[in-house]
Amino acid sequence: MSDPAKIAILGGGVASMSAAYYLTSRPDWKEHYEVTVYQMGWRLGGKGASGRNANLGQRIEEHGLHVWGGFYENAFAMMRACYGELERPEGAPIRSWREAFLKQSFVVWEEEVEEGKWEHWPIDFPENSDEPGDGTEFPSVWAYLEMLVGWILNAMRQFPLIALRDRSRAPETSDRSILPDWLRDVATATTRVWGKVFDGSPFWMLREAAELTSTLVTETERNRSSDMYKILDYLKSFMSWLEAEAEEEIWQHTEARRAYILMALGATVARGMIVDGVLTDGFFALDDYDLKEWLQRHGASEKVLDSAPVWAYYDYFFAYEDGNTDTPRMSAGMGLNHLLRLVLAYKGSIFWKMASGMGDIVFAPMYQVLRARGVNFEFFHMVEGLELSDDYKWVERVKVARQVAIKEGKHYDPLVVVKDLPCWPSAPDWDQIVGGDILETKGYNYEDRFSDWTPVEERTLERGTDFDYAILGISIGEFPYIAKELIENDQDWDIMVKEIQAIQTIALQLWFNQDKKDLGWELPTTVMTAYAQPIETWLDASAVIPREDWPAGKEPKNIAYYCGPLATEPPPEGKDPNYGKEQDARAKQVALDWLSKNLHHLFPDATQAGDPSTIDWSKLLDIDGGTGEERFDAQYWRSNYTPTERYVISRPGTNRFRMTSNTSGYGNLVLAGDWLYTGLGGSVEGAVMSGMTASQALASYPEKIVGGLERNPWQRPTSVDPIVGADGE
Amino acid sequence: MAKKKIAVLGGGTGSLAAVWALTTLPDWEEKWDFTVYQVGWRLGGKGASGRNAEYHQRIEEHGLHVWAGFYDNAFRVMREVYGAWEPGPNATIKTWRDAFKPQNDVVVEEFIDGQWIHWPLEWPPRPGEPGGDGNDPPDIWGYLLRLLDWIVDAFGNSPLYPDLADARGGEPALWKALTGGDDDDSVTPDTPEKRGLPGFLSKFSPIHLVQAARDFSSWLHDDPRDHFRADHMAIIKMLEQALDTLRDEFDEELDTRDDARRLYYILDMGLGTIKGLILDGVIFRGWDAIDIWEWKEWMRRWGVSDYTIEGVAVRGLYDYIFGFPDGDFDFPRVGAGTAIHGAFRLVFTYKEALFFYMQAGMGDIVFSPLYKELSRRGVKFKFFHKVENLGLNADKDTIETIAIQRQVDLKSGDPASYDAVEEIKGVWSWPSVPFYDQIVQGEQLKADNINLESNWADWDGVEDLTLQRGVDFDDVILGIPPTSFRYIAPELIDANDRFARMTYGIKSCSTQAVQLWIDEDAATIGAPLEPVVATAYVDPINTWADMSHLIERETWGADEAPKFVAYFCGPMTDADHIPGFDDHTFPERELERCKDMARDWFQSNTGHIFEKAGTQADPAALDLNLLHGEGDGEEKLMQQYFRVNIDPSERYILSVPGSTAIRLKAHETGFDNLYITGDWAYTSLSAGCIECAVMAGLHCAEAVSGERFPITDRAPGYEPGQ
Repeated sequence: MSDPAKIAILGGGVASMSAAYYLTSRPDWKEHYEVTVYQMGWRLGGKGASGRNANLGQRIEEHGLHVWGGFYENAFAMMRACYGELERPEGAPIRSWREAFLKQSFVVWEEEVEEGKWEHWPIDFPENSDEPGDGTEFPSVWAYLEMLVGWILNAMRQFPLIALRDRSRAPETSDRSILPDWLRDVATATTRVWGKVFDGSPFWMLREAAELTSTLVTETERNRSSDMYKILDYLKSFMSWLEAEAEEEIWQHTEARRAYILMALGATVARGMIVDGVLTDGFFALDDYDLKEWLQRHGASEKVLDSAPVWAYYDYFFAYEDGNTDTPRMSAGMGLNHLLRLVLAYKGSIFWKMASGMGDIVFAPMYQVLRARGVNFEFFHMVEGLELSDDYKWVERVKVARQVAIKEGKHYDPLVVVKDLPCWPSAPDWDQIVGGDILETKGYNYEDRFSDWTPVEERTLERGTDFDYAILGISIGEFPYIAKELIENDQDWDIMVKEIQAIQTIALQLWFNQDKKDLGWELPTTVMTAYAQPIETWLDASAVIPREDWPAGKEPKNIAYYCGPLATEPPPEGKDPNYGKEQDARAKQVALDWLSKNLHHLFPDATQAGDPSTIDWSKLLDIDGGTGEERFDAQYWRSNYTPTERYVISRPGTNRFRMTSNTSGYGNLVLAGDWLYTGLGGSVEGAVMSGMTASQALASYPEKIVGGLERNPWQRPTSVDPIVGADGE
Repeated sequence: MAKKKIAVLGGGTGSLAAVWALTTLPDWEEKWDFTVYQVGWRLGGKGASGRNAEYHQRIEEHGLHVWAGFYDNAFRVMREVYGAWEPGPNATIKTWRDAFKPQNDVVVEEFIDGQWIHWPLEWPPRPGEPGGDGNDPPDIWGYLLRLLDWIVDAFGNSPLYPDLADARGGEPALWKALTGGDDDDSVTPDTPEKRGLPGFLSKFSPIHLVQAARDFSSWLHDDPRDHFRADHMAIIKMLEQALDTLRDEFDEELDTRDDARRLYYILDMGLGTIKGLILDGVIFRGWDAIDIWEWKEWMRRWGVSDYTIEGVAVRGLYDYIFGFPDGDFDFPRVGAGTAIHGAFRLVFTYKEALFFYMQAGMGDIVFSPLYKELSRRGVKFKFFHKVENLGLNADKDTIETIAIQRQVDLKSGDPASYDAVEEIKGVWSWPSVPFYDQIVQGEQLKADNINLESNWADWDGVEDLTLQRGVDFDDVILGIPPTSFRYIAPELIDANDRFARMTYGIKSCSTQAVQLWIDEDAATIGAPLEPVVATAYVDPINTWADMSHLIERETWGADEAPKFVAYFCGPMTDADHIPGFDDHTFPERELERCKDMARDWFQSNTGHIFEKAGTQADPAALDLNLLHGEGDGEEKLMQQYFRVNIDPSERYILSVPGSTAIRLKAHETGFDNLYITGDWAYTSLSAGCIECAVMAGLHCAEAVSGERFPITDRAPGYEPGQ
């Protein structure tokens, strides 16, 4: 038997870690390959990396606000297995995934009822007893349709305007002229043929639509097309009745308006799915549409399109071209596929938040497990360039900058323990680094290629010597720097890099010395979105307070995380040490502007009485006792400006340009990252799925990905032959 | 109103069809002034051909072109052209009937159990004339009926089954079960399903089942919306039963019995297609709805067996349309909607003959008359004008400038004066190289062997022109394909997402062609005695045709004339790396690759198609001494014609899954004064062929003029004046 192949994993974000995890989950993996992860800087996690700030109460500093969808089936499954393997001792904090992830089912959307006037729209997504990551498959599209129509029926049953409910059931209420011809004809024939009484009421039609969708779910062998058109007509007739009947009443009544908006959105999605063949052909065909454009095509009104839930969904994906909030753009195909899973297929709770920093919850356990399995980690290794072989078929060399030297040739130990929990620090552990005491004072950012650190060594990894296969887990924003030859050699790479946009985001964390009630938030602990741009999303992250380590008596009472898109500027071409500083300064200004305009609506008591646009800085925690606006400087903000930190958006019509793990075009290059084609948008789940496909490409393992897309219409030819096949050969 | 100046960029079929249609309008001369800008010395794009004066004016094509009998729009335009122009007293090809001759013999090559087997298909002549009146194709339900007819005919012609029954529905018992004995043409809600049809189908012979399915289908209302679901299920169940029975009877013998296997292919594919068209709602939603599916995947989904999908019937179609992105033979891709629609148009809607052969080079037959007649009408042709860049205005919505490289100086001094064709044996013909004597730099071009049609040529032209909107042009007809846009239209790509998506989403394939002139006749070399078009043979040049009818057009002396001519073509797998245009020897290296391929290919694969052309040592090989030419063996081979179509604009445009949706319509380019034309624009078929290029040209002419032209199979969304 030949020597084990060498796999180099480039980058250590979610996708790379998932790839490493599954590659080394195959029981016989050591016979076939060894795995080395090359990570720039001092920590794993990519966009999900977080750090503990030793100078400020070991507070958690995130790249942004992360919540997990209850449908993150593969991500949860991996974390559950990882915690199982970790076997933390009795009494240790966060020993199981259940302690690591907390349900967050209460959500608030913000409705702008008139210019600048916002109202909370609370939604309590019902929790259920399912557990995410239990391996059960997602519902079929037919089942989604059934749920949608069933939900509309239920919403009508409970419609806030009781008189309207009654009118909907009155026989012959509806204006016959809005009925399609065939329905008018069957109005009389129905009784004879189907033995049902057609009473002409709108509610009857809605119920009929719901019943028909239910039968279609189970009867897979039937020819469904004619029934689908019936469902379509019933829904159309019902919604036209609702609109014609009650338009004014509805828009004046808050509860009715909200119910109506959701019903209208549900009905539009259902109709669009039927008309555009989603039920038979999948979501792919919708990729060329923007989601709003698609909803409009299928009859959504301007008001509905401009409603809070629609904005909430664009916010959820930072779906703004160039990070510009004037240009919301989202692939309808991706958007719907992701949306139906998000709201109709969640397990336990629609959202789950983490009980500590994402680094602590996800990447410290992953690191420990992978180390124990025998994966090598090379920190402070920044990939500089991939070079091709003379025949353009292989990645021949990987140029890597070794950023610092580790003392005495030892292995860098990246974790710190905070209140018994292994965590990542927010800065390198200078003690382990040669000349660390001097480097510490330089202000270099080892996660920023533009920062003016100089490498201690330019390494060249050679194919056949240092690696046989490379998994490129670095995000697409970085490709113009590291994949020049690949882009030049293959139009598809060129196009992919041009069309798949990665945008800047802004993150803001505030530590308050009062709790939410005292700050004026009357509703339960929440995640809120669809609020004023650009920092439109807020999570009450107070659940992590016990994990931080503040001086006694100076603990925060409330922690708020905010995030949003940031108008995106092209990054510099080479070293530019000021770039990061400028971007963070810009983020600070954006944050301050936003707070002065918008904090009042959320935390009225954190602003000066009588002057909603002046922040009461004293409510912010500052253990050094700053005064006034100085206290803001004791908070945390960041602009995610480096190419790898930028969030990958799914613009309409761009899914066709995304590659998959095994179609890089090169025999030894495997791809991983949420920018690949997974059918989902930028997310932990998408990244995990791409890591799983990367592992499959080389190790034919894992066998199954829950909710993995069965086909990709824009597929490229497979270029990578697995090291080990499904049969172990 | 002032005349609009129209810059027509590129002189292929799409461009010329558009200009042709516009110049048929009575008042066109008051409205428009056309200038066609053409790289190099000839019109025709992928259809350009040339006469090689060094080899007795032999015809050299980009590839093997045959016209399908369904090319209704293309034929209509050619009939108009031949009707209008006056070729002169010496002409030997005067009418469209002289130009195109029926060709009904096709062979597909099956590879069964390690052996190649011919499957000759003779297509019956069909009524009507291509380009004649009333040729609109059926709707999708209508196609389905024709498919059923075809299946019934296949059974009827098969020795495996006794004759069809006389009665409608084949078997009275079956008919009664289907219709309740009702011979009235109205469908009742009392459905076959209710009468327990499925239970007793197995009693009937496949031939009766397919016949009943056909008759029952035609008995139903023309509009499938008026059918009951159970009607459709009855049709499907009958066909399923027929296939089951057929499979049970012959399962073991499919490889050994040609007749059984071929019937099985037809029924298996036919049933899967019918199931899919019905159950996927294509009969309601149109072809485009399923174009997101790879055709093989779609068939698999509707139950077609892998045996059939990997069989010749499917492979033949992929070969016909070069359905291999970048020439990767392991990765066939074609959208299901386009594949089925294209196949249906080909075999169910041809007029007169399945195929037509052109009676000289495609350039001579198609582009000479267009060039001569359009020139006479006053259209200006500027040859040797290579479009380099389209520039936008500040608002990024209008073409403001066109950068053009003038490649040569003409001796006359007038850049529009190049006289591009000459008469050879009464046929106006294009040369395979420029008429150097008209060109100031002619000697240099000739000496350095510069190919002015190649982007890789070591030639910078003599002048860089910039055409200005409002001065040199007002509107632009862009007939250069998207494979070139990244070089000539980067500003448009940046400015408009849909334009970018089309540019990048459309995939293409290089092609290669070989033409052989052979000194012995068909009988001597063991080729089919009747000329055939054959396909699905060994890759890459998997398609060939007997083109011996062209010998008389060439100027061979009486004693030395070759007796047999064969054209071969197929996809060319892209080089591992396609270099930048400064790598001037790239085309030469690619041509060498083609020649190497051909040398091996003929060595191994000739015996099956030319049974007596082998050497004594190796009957499978080609005896190179049979080839026409000087010297012997290898020398002779190298005097044959080899061609690689690797330039961006020569690449064949594919219809990969999901690409129909991103094709732009002629009038919806996103730029105010830009119209597009070519087989890559959106049409009802959206496939790479002359017909689609002509359709796109007609749609383009409609967009420019606002007039409505007769278009067979008009695509949705093209409604001039609206």
